[in-house]
Amino acid sequence: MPPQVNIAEFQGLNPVIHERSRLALMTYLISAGETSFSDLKRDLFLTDGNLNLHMRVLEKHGLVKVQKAFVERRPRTTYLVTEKGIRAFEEHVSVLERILKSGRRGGARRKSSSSTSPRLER
Amino acid sequence: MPREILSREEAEQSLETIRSVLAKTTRYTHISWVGVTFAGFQASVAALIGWAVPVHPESSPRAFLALWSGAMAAAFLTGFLTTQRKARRAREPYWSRKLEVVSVGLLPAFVGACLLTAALAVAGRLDLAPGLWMVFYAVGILSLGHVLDWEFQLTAWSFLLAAAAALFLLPGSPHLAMFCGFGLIHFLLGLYRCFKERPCPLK
Repeated sequence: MPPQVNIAEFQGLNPVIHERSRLALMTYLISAGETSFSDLKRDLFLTDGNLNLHMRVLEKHGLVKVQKAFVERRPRTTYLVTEKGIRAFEEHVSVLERILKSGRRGGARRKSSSSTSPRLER
Repeated sequence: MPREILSREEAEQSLETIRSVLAKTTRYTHISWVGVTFAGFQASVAALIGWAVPVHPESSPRAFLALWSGAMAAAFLTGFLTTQRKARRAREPYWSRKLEVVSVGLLPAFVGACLLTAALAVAGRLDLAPGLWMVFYAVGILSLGHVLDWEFQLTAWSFLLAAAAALFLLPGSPHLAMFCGFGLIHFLLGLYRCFKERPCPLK
């Protein structure tokens, strides 16, 4: 059974970002900056419907901003991560790192104390 | 029943997702196979002209520099236009942060090549220029290893091999060396990119 962490650490994770596709979208937008719909769709292998759905969730929570414009008379939708989105993402990553660290500590302790409990530091 | 705990494995998977997306966002993919192939074609034509006229770096250094500066400018212009076309087709702006990284990354190698070419011209040793241009070109591409696909890194190493051949095996045949380097290697890269970028006609 894999080592597990306590509920307090889990509660630090942002459930909006935690979903795999939205996590990928947030990572992409934070790294690449303003990105078009087509670029996100192509690079993250998402369908139009899926991408629309996830972006709507992120937008609803104020994590991304949508910008619509016309480039050479063609509609172009781009997305931009907000300040709130950056903070939420950083917090999410630090919680993930904490989970991994506590998992490692727990793994080492179990080896030395031969404890059978999978739970760590309550 | 909602899960209350998150396993370490899941946290690792999430961080792996972040890592793989980060690697993807830094890739510059707008270099068009048309531009690369055309650069190979232009270098081949320039090599053919240089060999047929003939334009030798020692007897006619100005003509040699004019020929290859012209070929390089034409290749640069074609690269610019084809990249712009590719960006427009994807409904994206031509100038992006990734293109900025590529341009800034190539600039030191370009400036270094220009300076050394000037020094070689003054010293009357332009016969060494093809090999050194290839070295600078390869170093420029290798410095962008983190933003370009693997085939560009292979191309850079091929240019280093071609540079070694130009400097030690073909010192008296600058145009042949340029054809083998800037012509042939660009052709091969363009061919590979063509298969990579275009959908397979057999599907």
